[in-house]
Amino acid sequence: MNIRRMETDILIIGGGSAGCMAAIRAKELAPGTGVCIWEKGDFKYCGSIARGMDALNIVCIPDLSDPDMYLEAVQAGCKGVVDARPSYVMAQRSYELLKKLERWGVRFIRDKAGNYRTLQYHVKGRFQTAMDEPNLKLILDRKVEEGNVAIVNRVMALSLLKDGDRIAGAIGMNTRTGELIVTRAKAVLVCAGGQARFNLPASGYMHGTFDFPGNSGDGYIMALDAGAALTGMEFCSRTNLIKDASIPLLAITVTRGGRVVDCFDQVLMENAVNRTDKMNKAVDEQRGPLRIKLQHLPEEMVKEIEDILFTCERPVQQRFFRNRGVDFRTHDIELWPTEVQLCGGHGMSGVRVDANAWSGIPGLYAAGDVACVPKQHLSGAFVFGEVAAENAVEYCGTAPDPAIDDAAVKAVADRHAALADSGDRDIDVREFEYKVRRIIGDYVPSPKNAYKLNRWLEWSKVFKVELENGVRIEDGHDLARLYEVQHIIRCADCSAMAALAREESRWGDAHHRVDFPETDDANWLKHVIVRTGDQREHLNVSTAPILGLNEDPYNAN
Amino acid sequence: MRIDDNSIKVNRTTCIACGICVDRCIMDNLRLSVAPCRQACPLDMNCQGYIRLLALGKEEQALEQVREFGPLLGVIARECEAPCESACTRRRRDGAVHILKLKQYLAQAYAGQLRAIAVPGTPSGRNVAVLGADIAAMACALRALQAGHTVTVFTDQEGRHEDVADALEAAGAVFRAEADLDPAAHDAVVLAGPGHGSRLGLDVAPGAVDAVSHQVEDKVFCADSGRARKGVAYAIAEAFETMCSVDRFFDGVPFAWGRDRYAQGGRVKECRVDERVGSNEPRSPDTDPGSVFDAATARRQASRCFGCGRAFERNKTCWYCLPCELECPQQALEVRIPYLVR
Repeated sequence: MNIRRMETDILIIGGGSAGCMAAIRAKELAPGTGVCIWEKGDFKYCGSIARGMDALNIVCIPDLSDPDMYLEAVQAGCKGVVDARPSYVMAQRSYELLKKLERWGVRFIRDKAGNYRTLQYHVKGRFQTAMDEPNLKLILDRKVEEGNVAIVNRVMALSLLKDGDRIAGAIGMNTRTGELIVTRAKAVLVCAGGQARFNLPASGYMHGTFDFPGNSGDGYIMALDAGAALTGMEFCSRTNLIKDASIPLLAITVTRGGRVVDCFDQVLMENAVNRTDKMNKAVDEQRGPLRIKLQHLPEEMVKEIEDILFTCERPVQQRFFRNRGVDFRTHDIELWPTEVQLCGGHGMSGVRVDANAWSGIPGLYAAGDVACVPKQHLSGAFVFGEVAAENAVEYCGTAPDPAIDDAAVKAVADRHAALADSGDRDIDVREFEYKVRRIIGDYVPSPKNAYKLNRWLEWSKVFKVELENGVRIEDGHDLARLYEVQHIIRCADCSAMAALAREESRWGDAHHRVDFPETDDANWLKHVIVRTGDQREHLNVSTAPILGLNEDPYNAN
Repeated sequence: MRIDDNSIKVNRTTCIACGICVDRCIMDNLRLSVAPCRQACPLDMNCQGYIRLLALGKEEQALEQVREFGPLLGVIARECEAPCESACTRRRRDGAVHILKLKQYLAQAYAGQLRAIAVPGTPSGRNVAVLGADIAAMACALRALQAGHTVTVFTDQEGRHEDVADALEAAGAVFRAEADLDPAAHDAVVLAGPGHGSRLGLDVAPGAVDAVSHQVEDKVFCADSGRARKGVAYAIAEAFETMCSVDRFFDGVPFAWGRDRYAQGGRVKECRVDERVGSNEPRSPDTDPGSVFDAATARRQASRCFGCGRAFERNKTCWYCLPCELECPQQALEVRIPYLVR
């Protein structure tokens, strides 16, 4: 098989928010460093912020809030299971980040006195800073172009390559032609997003997900296979979003005075998104569907909300509401708990990284939704993209060129050829994905119990056999999709194994074991870590203590 | 599950099958079905695009579709055997659309603009020597200029394409006598034809150059692997492919089949083509080489085009995120929310 080969210093897998920021920062620090981005889709609008964003979620504006306050807020949000340093560093650098974005032309909303508009999203502190920038991705795209970064579109990363203990590059495939591509790199930054395609969304439409549905856990599985540790995989976050459309608008509406009510019109939240636990409880107690009411707001506020919703992040919701005849002035917005996702940005699942975005493997860094910096949102993706680039540039300065492990490349290429050779296989890859995700939804998310989680692990074995021998492939797209489903299955394995280990309930709906319904701080105020075992695809589950401000999980020496 | 509802609506009257939406889709949902005329064209020229725009009276935009060919368009319009017309769907009904004549119309009406189009790209710091005076040499020089290289054309012959040579010279290409060539002074040497090999002491057999790399020796390339003599469009196509190989050589990227436009914009563009069927062999055109069209005739002729190619939804993976609709130059595409979600 023809394999395309490239060489670079830093390979960034994923061209979304974290990947862009990493590329820009690397070129800023060391213009001579070779930087290459692999993007599964097309770079110009890829990632979860294709059409911009309504706010920078976490900014510590001097005199208004500080990193210590943020740490307290995020520790409360994560029920104590969070390493302090990464979150602290992110908060520390957040204001600098805002200033930088503003210099690049990103529009932040300010009042007449020049103060930024802050909104209450956390239990304590107003960290969310309003932004009004439909062209955020285009601005990043231009900055990347100026840096002369090599961008390779339509490449899905399949596996990381190692040279001994250190990283040596990656192997990927073109999602249209199936052609393999090997890039040798001194450092690899995994910025491939979380796992947005976990179970089926409530609408039944497989790609109607909250986050970009191209995020199929590729980064988790690659890092896992390379020897990195995953943490928080038992955190299956399920958000209340616009019913059927699965588009978020809670923060935008509620922080501007909207009310969340249950079926008895009892107000659960108003002015601040600080009681999502109350929302989840109401849904659990069958007091749903929840609704957002905006009728009581003055016309100019409704107009402002509309302007933001219909231009930033997911402007398509204008069409959605028009189709359904929903006018915010007269109608409620119905919410529904939609699909479950694993995500480092909204939830707390991901590669365990230290405050340098380092995964513990020489040369391997992770940033954005693939990394566990809990509830970091967009701010975290940007800051840790920069942090990862800074450390990767430093690492590249001293590291010698790695050698490509030809046996590993051949193993991937052989399996690739075997999967692509359809023979008499007859399962349609779409139906395969549908069934996998339906079964995941049945067994893996809350309410969890040992029997259900073990049932998934049995199903997973069946699916893995079918994946190798039963699914029909017609083109590169189908093949990429098959790999994606493989990653979905393996992420579910990680989630089920971690959930089996954590014999308690925590984080409300995200991890609710009916056989261990109480939160057990005495025994479980710690991380559940998933790593690859002795054999590939065999998982080892362990626990690790929660680290304070002066502790790091990995020893650089 | 398999979903048969089409959420992407394409207006067939205004779609120019340019494939921008296909490129932009982040979910790899869209594909381009390529019109037979384009499939037949060795240069992958989007005939349907400029014809549709001519029919809509948008001549300036039509010109955009052929901009990359710059001063070569006039030569192509005069000398091409027009395999596009042989492949035209309408040929079997009531005669092919006179594609070549429409091209002639564009080349004549906008000759000045097309000549000025050979604007050099961002300077690459590379220095390329081109040997030859024929159309392949001109095409190599044009591509090198567009890639931002410094170009010197070495030739002793009076070329048949003085107008093209003038345009290239105006854009910064230097013309010198063959005897002045010092291969050591250039980062790459491109032979427009195998005959020029003797100048470097190389014995290059006609048509025997590697069809993928076009490489003769380290840093020496030849734009003739056998296709070049089939006609002017083939010669230009082969020249373009050779320059792709030169850019790959500069960037240390392995050689591959040349149509991926590797050299343009620094991004590895992917093949948008869905299925290429039909023959690339030229057949004798049905057109009568009569007088050149005026604007009204051109528009009338252009409106005969069926518009066979278009973007379509292939994989049903739409995330209704809108960039395809936003970037469509003709506003021909509408994203509808999938039925299950609507």
